[in-house]
Amino acid sequence: MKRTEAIIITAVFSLLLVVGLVGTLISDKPDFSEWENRELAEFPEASVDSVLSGKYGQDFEGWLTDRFVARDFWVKLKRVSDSALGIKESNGVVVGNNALFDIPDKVSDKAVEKNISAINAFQKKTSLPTSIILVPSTATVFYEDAPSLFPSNDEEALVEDIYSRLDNVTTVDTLPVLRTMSLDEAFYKTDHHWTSKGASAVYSVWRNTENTFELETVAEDFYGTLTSRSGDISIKADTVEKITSGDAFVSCKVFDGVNTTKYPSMYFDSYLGLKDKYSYFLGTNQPMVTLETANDTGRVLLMLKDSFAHSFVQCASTDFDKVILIDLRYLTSPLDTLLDLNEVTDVLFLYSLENFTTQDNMMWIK
Amino acid sequence: MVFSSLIFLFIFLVFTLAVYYILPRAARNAFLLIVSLFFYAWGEPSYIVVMIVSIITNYTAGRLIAHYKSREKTTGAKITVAVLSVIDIGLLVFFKYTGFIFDNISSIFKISFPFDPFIDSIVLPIGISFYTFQMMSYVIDVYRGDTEVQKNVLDFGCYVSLFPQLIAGPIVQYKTVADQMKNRRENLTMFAEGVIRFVVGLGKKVLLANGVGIIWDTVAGYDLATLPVLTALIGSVAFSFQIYFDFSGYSDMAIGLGKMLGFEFLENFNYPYISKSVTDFWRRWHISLSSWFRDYVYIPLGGNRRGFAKQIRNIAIVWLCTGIWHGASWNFVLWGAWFGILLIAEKLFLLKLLDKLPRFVSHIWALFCAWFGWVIFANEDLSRLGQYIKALFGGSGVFADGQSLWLLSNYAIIFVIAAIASTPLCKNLWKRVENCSVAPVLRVLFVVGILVLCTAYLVSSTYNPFIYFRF
Repeated sequence: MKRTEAIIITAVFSLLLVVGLVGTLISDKPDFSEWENRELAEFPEASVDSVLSGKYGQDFEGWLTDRFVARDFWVKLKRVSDSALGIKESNGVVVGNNALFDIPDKVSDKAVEKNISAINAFQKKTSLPTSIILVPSTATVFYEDAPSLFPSNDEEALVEDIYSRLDNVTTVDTLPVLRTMSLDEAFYKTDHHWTSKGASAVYSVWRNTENTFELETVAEDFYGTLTSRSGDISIKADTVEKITSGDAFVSCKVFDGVNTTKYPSMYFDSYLGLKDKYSYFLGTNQPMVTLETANDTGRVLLMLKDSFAHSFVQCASTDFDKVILIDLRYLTSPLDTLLDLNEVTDVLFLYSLENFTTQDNMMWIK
Repeated sequence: MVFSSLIFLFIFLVFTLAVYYILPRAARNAFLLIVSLFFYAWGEPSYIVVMIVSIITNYTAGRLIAHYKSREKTTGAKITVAVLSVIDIGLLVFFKYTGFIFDNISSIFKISFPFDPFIDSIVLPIGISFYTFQMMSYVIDVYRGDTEVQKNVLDFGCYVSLFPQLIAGPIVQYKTVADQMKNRRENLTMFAEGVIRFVVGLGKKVLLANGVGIIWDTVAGYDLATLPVLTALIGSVAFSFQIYFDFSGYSDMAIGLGKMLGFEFLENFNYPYISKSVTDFWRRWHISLSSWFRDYVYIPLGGNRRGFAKQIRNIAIVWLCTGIWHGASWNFVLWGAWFGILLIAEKLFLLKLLDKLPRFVSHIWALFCAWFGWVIFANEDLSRLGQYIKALFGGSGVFADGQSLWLLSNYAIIFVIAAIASTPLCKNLWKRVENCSVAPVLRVLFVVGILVLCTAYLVSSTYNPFIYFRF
C-alpha cells in the first residue's frame, strides 16, 4: 500500500467515526419516534448500583442507539439493504404487489376448539339468532398479490372447517364478495385491517341486502401497523374512508372497564391527526361500547368482536336500535354481569381469522 | 463492551486512538491498560476484580520463577508453576463449572445442597477462558525459558487486558508479542491495513453473522417435533455460517485493532470450510486454541512420541478438554468427543483413504463432520439435541413445508454470499486487481461502504415499533 493511500484510508475512517460522534452530540434528538410509535430511550441517570450492575452501561447504549444522528435514515438504509439481499420479510411483514402482508401466526387447534364449543354453548343457552363472520387475511383473499411462496395457512379450508362445526349459526362467506374488489379497496395496503368499503360489502352479504352505502374520504395519509412494523416505506399511504350513514345516530357509550364515557359520535376525529388512523373508528379497543340510534326496529345487536368490527359497525348503526360491542379479550367478569341478554335480538361473532384461530377468550360468555 | 456496537465505534475507539497517538510512547502501555480495564468493566464492572487479582498473581509467579531460575533452584520454580496452574485452573473451574458440577451431582444422587443459591449466583466473568489461558502460557513459558520474564506489571497487565483480544481471543501467547510490548513501531501503512482488516471483521459480524443468525433463531424457535427436514437443514447450515463469521469476524477485528495500535497478532482462522479432512479443519479453525492445547497439554503429555496407545490417549484428553472449554454443558463434551473420535479415526486410517479419494469427496467429508459438530454445539439441552437430530433425519415425516420454502426464498442470496465469503475466492480475485490503478479507490469505497452499512444495521437494532394497536 502506498503512503498516500494509507493516509486517505486513515483519514476517511477517522472522519466517519468523528462525524458520527459529533453529529450525535450536536444534532436535535427527538424524544418520540412517530414512526415506531414509542418514546425513545432516556439518558440514564448514574447511580452506584446501576453502574456496578452494568445496567447503566446497557441503558447508555440503548440511549445512544435510539438517539444516534439521523436515526430514520439509518433505519431506512437497512431496509433498502435487506431488500437488495432479497430479504422480503421484516418483523413478520412482507412486501408484495403494492401492499404489505402480515405473516399469520400458527393456528392453535386448541384455541379453535375452545372457541367453537363456546359459541355453540352460547347459542344453545340463549337460543338467539346467531351469525359468524370470520375475515381471512389479505394474503388469502388476494393471494395473487402476495409474494410467491408466502407462508400463509390454508385459510379457506380453515374457515370451511370452523363453519361446519358450528350448530344453528348463520355463517358468512366473505371471500366471493371481497374478491370482487381490488386489494386496496377491501383492505388497507399498509395496515392489517379491512376498509369501510370491504366491511360494508360483507355487511350487505350478511344482511342479504343491496350494498347502497356511500363513502366519504376523511384522511389520505394513513401508514398503518404493517408499515410501522416493517419499516418499509415503498408502499404508498392509504386513504381512510367513512360511511355516510344518515342521521339516525344518537350516542356512543364507551365502558373502559371502570368508567363509562358518552361520546356524541362513533368517529374519533382526534386520531386522524395521529399515526394510528384506524382508531378513528370507535377509538381503541375497549371492553364494551354501546351505540344507540334513533332507529325504531325493535332490534338490538350484540357483537362479540375484535377490532375488525370497528369499521363494520358503521353499517350496523343504520339497521339496529342499539348495538353492543364486546371485546372479550378485555373482559374481567362474565358477560351477563355487564348487560341484560334479554333485550338482545341478534348475536354476531365478528373476528379476523387470525385472532379467532390463535387466541381463546371466550370463557366469559359461557 | 463489544466491537460491534455504536459505543465502541463512535466513542471508545475515537477517544482511545486519539489519546493513544497524542501520548508519548512511554505512556502508551499504561494508557492501553487503563482503557482496556474500562472496556472490560463497561459490561460487567464487578468481575474486573477477578481479572486484576489474576494479573497480579500471574505476574508475581513469573517474577518468582525467574528468581528461582536465576539461582538454579529448579524445585522452587517447579513448585511455583504447579501452584500457579492450580490457582489459574481452579479459578476457571470455580467460575465456569461449579454450577455444572453440582447440578450433575444433585441429579445423579438426588440430593440438594444448602449452598445451592450461592452456586446459582456465580456468573461467568467475560473472557476468563481466554485470559486465563493467555496468562498460563506466559508463566509456563517463563518456566521453560521460552520467554523473558516481564518485570513491569503495567506492561504485563497491558498484555493480558489488551482490549482487542480480551473477551474473545485470539489467545495471544506472550512469547509472540513479548518484543512488541516494548519495541513496537506504529506506522501509517500498518494503521490503514488495520482499518481494512477491522472493517472486514465488522462486516463479517454485523452483516453476515447477524444476518444468518436470524435464520437460526427463527428455526430454533419452531416446534422441533414437527420440524421438516429442510427447515432443520437450513437452520443448522445457518448456524454453521453464523458461528464462523461471528468468531472469525471477531478475530479479524482483533487483529485489525492490534495493527492500528502497532501490534501483530497471529492469524486465528484460515478458511476452515475449504478443509479436506477434520485434521485439516482443526488446523484452520480457532488456530490459537489448538496451538495452546498442543503446546501446553498434548506435547507435555508426550504427544506422539511415546507410542501409539499413549498418542490416542493424549488426543482423547486434549479433545475432552477442548470440548468442555467451550462451555459447561454436556453437549460441549459430546462435541469434543465427536472431534476426538474423528481425529483418531483419521490418524488410524481415514486420512490415507481420504488422500486417495477425489478432492470433492474429502471436502464433503470435512464439511459434513464440521456441520454435524455444529448441530451438537448449537443445542445445549441434550433432549433438544436429540429432537433436532431426529428432525434432520426425517423424524417429523415431512421433508419440506411452506415455511421451509419461504425461508429458503427469503435468505437464498445471503446464503450464497456467506458461502462465497467462506472461501478464498474474493481474496484471489482481489489479488488480480490489487495492482491496478483503481485498486486504491476500491479499497476506500470498501471501507466507507461497509462502515456505513454496519452503522445502519447497528442503529436499526433497536428499531422496535410499539404496536399497541395491533388488533
